[in-house]
Amino acid sequence: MSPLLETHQLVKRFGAMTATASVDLTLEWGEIHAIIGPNGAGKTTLMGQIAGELKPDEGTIFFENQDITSLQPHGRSRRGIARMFQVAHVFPASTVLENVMLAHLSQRGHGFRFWKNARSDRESRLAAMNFLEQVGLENRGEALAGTLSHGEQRQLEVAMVLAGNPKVLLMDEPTAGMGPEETARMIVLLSRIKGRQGLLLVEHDMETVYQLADRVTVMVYGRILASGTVEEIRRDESVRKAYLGDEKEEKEANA
Amino acid sequence: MDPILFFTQALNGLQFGVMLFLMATGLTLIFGVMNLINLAHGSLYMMGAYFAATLQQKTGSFIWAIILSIPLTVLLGMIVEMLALRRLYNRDHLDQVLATYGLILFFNELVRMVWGPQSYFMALPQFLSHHVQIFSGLTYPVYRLVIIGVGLGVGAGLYGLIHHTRLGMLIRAGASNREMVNALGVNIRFLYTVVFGLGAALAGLAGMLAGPILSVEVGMGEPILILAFVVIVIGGIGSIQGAFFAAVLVGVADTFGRVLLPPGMASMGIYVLMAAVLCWRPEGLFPAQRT
Amino acid sequence: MTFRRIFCFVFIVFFATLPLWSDVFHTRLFTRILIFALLALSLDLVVGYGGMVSFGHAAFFGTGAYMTGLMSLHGITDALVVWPAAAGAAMLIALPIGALSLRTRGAYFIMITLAFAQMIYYFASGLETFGGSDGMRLLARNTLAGKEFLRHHEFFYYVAAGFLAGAFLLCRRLTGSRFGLILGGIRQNEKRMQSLGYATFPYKLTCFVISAALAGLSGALMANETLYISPSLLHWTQSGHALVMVILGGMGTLAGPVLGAIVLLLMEEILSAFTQHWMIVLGPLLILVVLYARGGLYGLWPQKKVSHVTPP
Repeated sequence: MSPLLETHQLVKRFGAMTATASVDLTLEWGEIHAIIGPNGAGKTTLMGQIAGELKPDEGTIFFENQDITSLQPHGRSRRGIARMFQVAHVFPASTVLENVMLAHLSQRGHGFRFWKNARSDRESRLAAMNFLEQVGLENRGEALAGTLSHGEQRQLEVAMVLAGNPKVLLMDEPTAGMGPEETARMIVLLSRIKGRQGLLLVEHDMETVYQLADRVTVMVYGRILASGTVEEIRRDESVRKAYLGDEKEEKEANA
Repeated sequence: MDPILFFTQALNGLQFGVMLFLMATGLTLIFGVMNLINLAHGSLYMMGAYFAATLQQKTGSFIWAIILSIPLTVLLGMIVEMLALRRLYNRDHLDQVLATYGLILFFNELVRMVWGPQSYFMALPQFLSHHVQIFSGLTYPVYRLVIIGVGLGVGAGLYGLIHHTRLGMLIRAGASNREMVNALGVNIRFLYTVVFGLGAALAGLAGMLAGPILSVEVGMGEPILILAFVVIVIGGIGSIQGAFFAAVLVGVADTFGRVLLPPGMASMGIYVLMAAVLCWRPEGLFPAQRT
Repeated sequence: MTFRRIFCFVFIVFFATLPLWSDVFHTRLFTRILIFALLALSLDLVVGYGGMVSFGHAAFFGTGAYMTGLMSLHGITDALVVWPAAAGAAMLIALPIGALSLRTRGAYFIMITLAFAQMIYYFASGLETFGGSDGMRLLARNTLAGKEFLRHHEFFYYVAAGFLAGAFLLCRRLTGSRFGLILGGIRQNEKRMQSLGYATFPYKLTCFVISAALAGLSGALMANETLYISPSLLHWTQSGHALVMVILGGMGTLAGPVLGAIVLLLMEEILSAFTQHWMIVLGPLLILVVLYARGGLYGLWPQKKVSHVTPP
């Protein structure tokens, strides 16, 4: 069976710098695939190309066996590729519930309904509430999203992403900037939604990766250095040298 | 079209183009460096013209009037910058538009109170008021040639300033990437003041030069301000080079439009041009900002 | 809350009974105020709810007025035909202007809408059949279903008030609808809306065109009130004026622009009684409002915080 999402020889250059050099990557249904690598390895650029915000210079992206390389971001989103950003991108002046409703409605027909009150629509309220419960924000529905804490905003993001009922989830460092407690909550949340879609995860924190990922791909200087299960990556000599080793030394130095 | 008329109109277009350039270059720099949409730029144009008209009456000399009016306009510009505009740099464009619209209302009324509602005309001195023969059959007013010369001179001077001095390097950097200038630790306040003063000087100069051709009157700055916006849209925000080519393009297109198109359509030509550029290149022909 | 109720009550009673106790001069003044309030409301839909700063709304206002004039030249004078046609003409003009302008955003959008409005202004100034830059006098107000009701200033006042009330309720539905919810999302973060799967352009264009229809309607009403159409209706200061009303009252609210129109026009009326140079006061005042009272008058409303999303 062919994978849910596949990139084929993806190349993106910024001037003289090659951000991704011929990247081949697959994502299967139901798995969490983590991409790790040092800063500037091209992870975010890769995510941007899959989401459609960046146009690759070469290569193709397949989603459910179809070439989606030339699709705009909203077109990809409509097909079921959802993106969660590094910095929380919620709508600050709308309520938490409205944020989720917007995400939910995007997958349900057009928005050219001018008359009926959308906020009191029972069906979409219930649906939105359901997603808020999943991320543990059911009590904050009427708060303005801009007043939430950083961790709560990321939880809201997850709810918004889930509300779109995506087949592929692209997550860029979901635990960045979070305290240990919030991080733990996010990990629980992600492991709970695992299996319902393919999840491509860019993450710096190795603990998070080890707890969540089925498969790990290591990127260095825009290339894939190694790919395999968590155990394989842990054992891989070149990865240790290029990446994990450094981190260990760093940690020891910090300790 | 016979060649004499063609050349005359081409020169007229060029002359109008360099006037637009003097306006647009200040606007586009102020926008590029300070991220400020300044409608009051049209007021500086008007004030420049009124200063020059008054000084000409007082001194009796056109040249002295121009020489003295430029620093006056710059001074006025700097006062306005310190009192009002400075607080607007970090505001959104809507706030800037409204506050500077308030400035326009203020200056228009001020002029009406001080100078009265009637128009002024600036007389040209003897040595500028005749025609010269450019080639057989084509004579052209000297003064318009002088405007073209001044405009081209200013353009060349700006080019030198922007590309060959440290100040110019900072202005270029500011227009393409504001954060970078901040990061360089440059005295940003000073840079802003210089850029604003430069813009005010050019707007005032344009107003003074226009004095003997158009009438000096309340609200004279606004039509040319809007045309300068068209120039900026076509040329690309923050680009002096773009402002120059677009200004000449708009000047020539407008002049020929008035000759060739039926009366109702005459002044619409440049807007159609703008629409065409927008379809083809929404960022303008020479965009300076890359984000 | 009680203050709010009382204020609303007094407000409505005042406007509902005004022609009954007022003289003709003031009835007509308030008719103009109501018409400008309609224009300001339409502009707020674009600026406050859609996040698109249009500096060319006079184009649609004036188009509505000129359409009224054009039809009366051809002997079509019934409001039931003329007014929808005026709104339609404004929409027709807004469609290409919006489609082109919305290819850009931010500062470009401001300049381009301003420039296109100026284009329409020059076009109208060149129309000899409409008196060129001097404008044209209309013979009489439109008829209503063949009857000359609108000739009475009191009746016309109520028509204008009815349109404003209708537009207010319409905008209220609109901003609370799914369309309004999406528009609010686009205003706050257009990129994010795209990544959620929305093609944002059609929504923005729709908002722009709906707003133009209301502006065109207000133009038709204004032509009827003054019985005079001239390029000054299309002048860029009209666009600026309407923006001032929106900001003065409080953008992103529905009551704001109405309040702004009332206050600004009354202030002009009162100031001009003292001095013909009242703009020397208005200009700096405007700067102060922008610098220090961002929420506008509506922001000063007691016990109610200004929210861009929830209409009053």
